[in-house]
Amino acid sequence: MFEVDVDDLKAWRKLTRKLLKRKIDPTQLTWNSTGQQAQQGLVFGGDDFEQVDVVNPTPTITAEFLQLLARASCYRDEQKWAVFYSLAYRLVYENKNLLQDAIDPQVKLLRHWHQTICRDIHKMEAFVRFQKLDHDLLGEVYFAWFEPEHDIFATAAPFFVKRFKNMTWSLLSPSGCMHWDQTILTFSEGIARPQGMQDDCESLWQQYYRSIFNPARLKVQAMQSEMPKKYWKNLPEAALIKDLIRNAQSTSEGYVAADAAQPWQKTAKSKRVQQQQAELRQKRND
Amino acid sequence: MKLKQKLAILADAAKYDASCASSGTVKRDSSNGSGVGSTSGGMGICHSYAPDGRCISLLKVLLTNFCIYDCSYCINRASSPIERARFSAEEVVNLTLDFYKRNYIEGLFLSSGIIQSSDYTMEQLVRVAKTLRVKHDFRGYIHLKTIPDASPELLRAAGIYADRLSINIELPSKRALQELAPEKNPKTIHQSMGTLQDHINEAKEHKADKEIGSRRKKKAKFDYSPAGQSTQLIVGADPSTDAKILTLSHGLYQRYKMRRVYYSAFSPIPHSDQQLPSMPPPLMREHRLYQADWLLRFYGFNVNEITPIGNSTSADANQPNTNQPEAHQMLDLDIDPKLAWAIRNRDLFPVNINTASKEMILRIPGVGVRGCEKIIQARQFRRLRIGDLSRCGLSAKKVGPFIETADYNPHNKLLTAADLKAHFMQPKQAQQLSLF
Repeated sequence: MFEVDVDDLKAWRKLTRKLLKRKIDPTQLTWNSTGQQAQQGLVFGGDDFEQVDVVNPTPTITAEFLQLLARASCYRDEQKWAVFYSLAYRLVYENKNLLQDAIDPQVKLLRHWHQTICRDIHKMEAFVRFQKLDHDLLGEVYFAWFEPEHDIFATAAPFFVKRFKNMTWSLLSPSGCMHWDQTILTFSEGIARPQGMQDDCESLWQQYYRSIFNPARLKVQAMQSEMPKKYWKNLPEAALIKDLIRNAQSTSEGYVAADAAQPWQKTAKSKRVQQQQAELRQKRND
Repeated sequence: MKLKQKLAILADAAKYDASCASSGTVKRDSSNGSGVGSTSGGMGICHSYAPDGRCISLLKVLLTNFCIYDCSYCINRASSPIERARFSAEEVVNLTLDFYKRNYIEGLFLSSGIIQSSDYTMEQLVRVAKTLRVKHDFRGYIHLKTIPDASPELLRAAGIYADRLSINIELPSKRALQELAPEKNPKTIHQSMGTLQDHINEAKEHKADKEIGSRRKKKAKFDYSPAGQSTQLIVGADPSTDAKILTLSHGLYQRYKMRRVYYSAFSPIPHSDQQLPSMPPPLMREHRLYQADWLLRFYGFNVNEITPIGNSTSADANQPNTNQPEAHQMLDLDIDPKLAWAIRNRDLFPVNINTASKEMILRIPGVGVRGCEKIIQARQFRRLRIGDLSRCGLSAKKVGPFIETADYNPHNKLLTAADLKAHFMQPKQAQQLSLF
């Protein structure tokens, strides 16, 4: 048995290349992810796999696999490095078309992780809410608090940099923060949620949310499946949802009742409007 | 009037437009710009969802809800006793940028009531888009509602600044338009859709020429409405059948290469006109129309298969037989249109998913485009068994009666049963659906 230790994709790739060259069977490996040996990518405890002879000096894995890994490796799961290696081993030594087998359990797991991360990044791009702060020295700065379930900040960063290139902003979370000063992206340790942040624009946004909602078409389930509750605490508009739902029926019934109580009457129209309407109707009949 | 109050009125007035898409445009971002904004090129982003289940992707507002038109189905018609407001161009520009910088939205969907004249109104809309693009170098998404009677110059200018343009066809028939929207002119609606499409095609060809002309893919000088055009029609305000509506949609997709036709179930609005039906159509009808629309565009169905023509001898499969009873021209509200088709054509089933063509697999009820892809991929490696269905993301209960696998044949009695439809309907479920 060999014991190996990696904590990021780069270290995993380096180590995997060495393991594949020696055709080390996945079942002979125990994977740790403390990152303590990541620099060396070496073994500790057990036997030293580098003693094993190289049997295949140039093992190659496909670009598709690496693409899937780039996102799947953001998934927080202890098993992931072992599963990735097992897949890499099978791709090289058993079936190079393995990834096309949609119902292989490991391929399924890889695709599930990849899909989850894609969805989480997509939802992060959607549900981050910046608050503006006028800072004495920095001018306009934008802050957002966002708690990702997986380690997606670095992967999601290019989206925010390209979109808000000319803004100074920070994305804050308990597991890490990133900061853009209009030139350079930097990362820092996680922090506790800052208290008392406020932005006047939020009340306009809430007004918009209230007004664009159509109470005659209540579909709470559809809303919730696309905007799960776990995101609500960072969305200023989510505070309105409960009341909007509760009042929906009376609002839309209100429309009908108002009509019944007071049948539709043409309001007095200005002469000018009437004349313009007449012209339009005439033009249409020509 | 305060900005917040204007926003309340002019967002409320805009909510009957179903579209909020920010998809399908070109990919761009602010890395070499002076402002903010980016577009993904493919999929848009929904930044929020309202409790009506609809995506909120864009700031969707009217520039003004004053209107000289008197379309009876519209809350903003001239004779409607609602409160009126008007944004200045600057107010809309600032709202868009303020919302965008806080990551609330992908961009702006701007529409307007018609004030003074079509050209005047269109000019106001174009001015907002131009200010965002030129003065603020805004690279987010802009959707402009286009006034069909506006001059060709304005239609051209609109597409230079907008990602998507739309002209609403409003109602399924000319007659309905005449009765309910007396100032609207069906002829200019179609003409302008044609004009927009010409511009869109021209810009695309121009771009393609550029790309062939130079080895390096130089960016073309201009795009014209790169996300194409879309339209909307109101369902249930007039007696048009689903067959009629789908035939119209099919024509719009063919003729003007519409990216989307939106269906909007006529919704009860305050102070509605008595010309209109007193009850809204079931929202399920709108849902079924969207499903049918998908079958037309992505599943290889034609209109007559979806709204059956019985023993028709009609030559063109997309021209429904007008002699048939109306009921047959309506989609079944209880079950989805693909399942309804399969039940009518049950002699084509069961389909062996290990051997059938892609076209036929797409026609199995309960199999979507992705499910179909997964079946085709997975069967290259093994003969599929009934247990593999769930691994392809398919429900054995839904597709079971219609397929054969290596180890499974459907209960033959079920496929020949007179009440096959009932198998798919649970009384309780039917109840819930009507609440939609």
